Amino acid sequence: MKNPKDRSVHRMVAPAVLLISLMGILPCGTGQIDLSTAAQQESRVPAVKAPEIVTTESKEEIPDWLARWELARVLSYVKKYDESVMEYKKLIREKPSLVEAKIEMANVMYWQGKMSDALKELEAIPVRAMTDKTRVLMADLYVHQKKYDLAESLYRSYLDKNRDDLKVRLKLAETLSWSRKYDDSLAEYEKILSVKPSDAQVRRKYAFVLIWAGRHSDAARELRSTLK
Amino acid sequence: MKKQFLFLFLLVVAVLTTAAYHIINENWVLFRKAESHFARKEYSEAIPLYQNALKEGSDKPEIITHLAQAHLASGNVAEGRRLYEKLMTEQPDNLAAFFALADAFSISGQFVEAVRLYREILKRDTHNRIARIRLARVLVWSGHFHEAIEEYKKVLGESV
Repeated sequence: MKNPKDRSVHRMVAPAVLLISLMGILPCGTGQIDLSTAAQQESRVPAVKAPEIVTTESKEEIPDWLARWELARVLSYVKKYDESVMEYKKLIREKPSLVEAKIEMANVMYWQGKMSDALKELEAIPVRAMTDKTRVLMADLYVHQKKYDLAESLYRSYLDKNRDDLKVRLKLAETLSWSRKYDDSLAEYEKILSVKPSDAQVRRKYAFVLIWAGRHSDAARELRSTLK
Repeated sequence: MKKQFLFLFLLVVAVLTTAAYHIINENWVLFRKAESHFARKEYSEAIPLYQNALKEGSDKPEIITHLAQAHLASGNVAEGRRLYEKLMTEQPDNLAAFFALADAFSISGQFVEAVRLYREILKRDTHNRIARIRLARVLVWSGHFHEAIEEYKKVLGESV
């Protein structure tokens, strides 16, 4: 316990010390440091963060797996698909939770023409982790394997969110026609033609489905209209 | 009475010392003020203070580096580049300056210049992994895929 005299001395001295500290006399402010020792000081305290224009990645911030991922991508750009897949496989072995890398690898396999391998990779990915684009890729792979019902379901789930994507709607229309769901297919073609009435290629495909559905006179009318 | 005198004495010492410090070490004070603005990303406030610190005679590389960075971050690419090039000429071993300018070039899409500087860094430090990865990235962005592949493979220790 301090005596009252000591406390009064503290009351007197404390504001002075505080004031002096604030003015930069005691070494609690940066103003105390001489310019010649600035570099030494800065090596002890965290350096001032560089502005965004100067990237400050340290060695840890570009790990090998990230460099390998970038390499796998670039290899696919130059169509070195075998090497690309090999790098993707090494990457996935190291980082098995990288769903995006698995999807990219499936894409590369698709470009390679290895449809079954691509599909196998995609089937191992949880549906909720898939992007819309991936669902379309998976549907394309199902079409290739003539699994039209599975493809239809994926195209429809994509189109629920992307109603205006006519390319995918055309894929759905074709898939429905191949699974002999002609009425459903024609309905999809009609949706496309209502937006692009002058697309002769789509109208001809529409006409063929009309033929398969036994509506020959309608098909003739549609085909004739593409020749005008 | 003694206590009051002591308080007054300390106060006078504080004022005089601070005033003397500001007069004697003006460039240091300017530098610290500039650093505070720089840390808060207030580059337009930091730039004149750094410039004054330089005028006052200090040519510390830290000041030139931060002034150059402040110029780049506030869009004065030409001035940032001039300062970095000055620094690189005066201190050819200062890789940080090479990095900063190379990064600035790659961000502003001047890929040829960026590639040249990353290669310069690699000439001085063959095993600089970060420089090699950044070089590979810039090569990708500029469409030089085959060269990029070579650099990535070197980073990963794969045969080219």
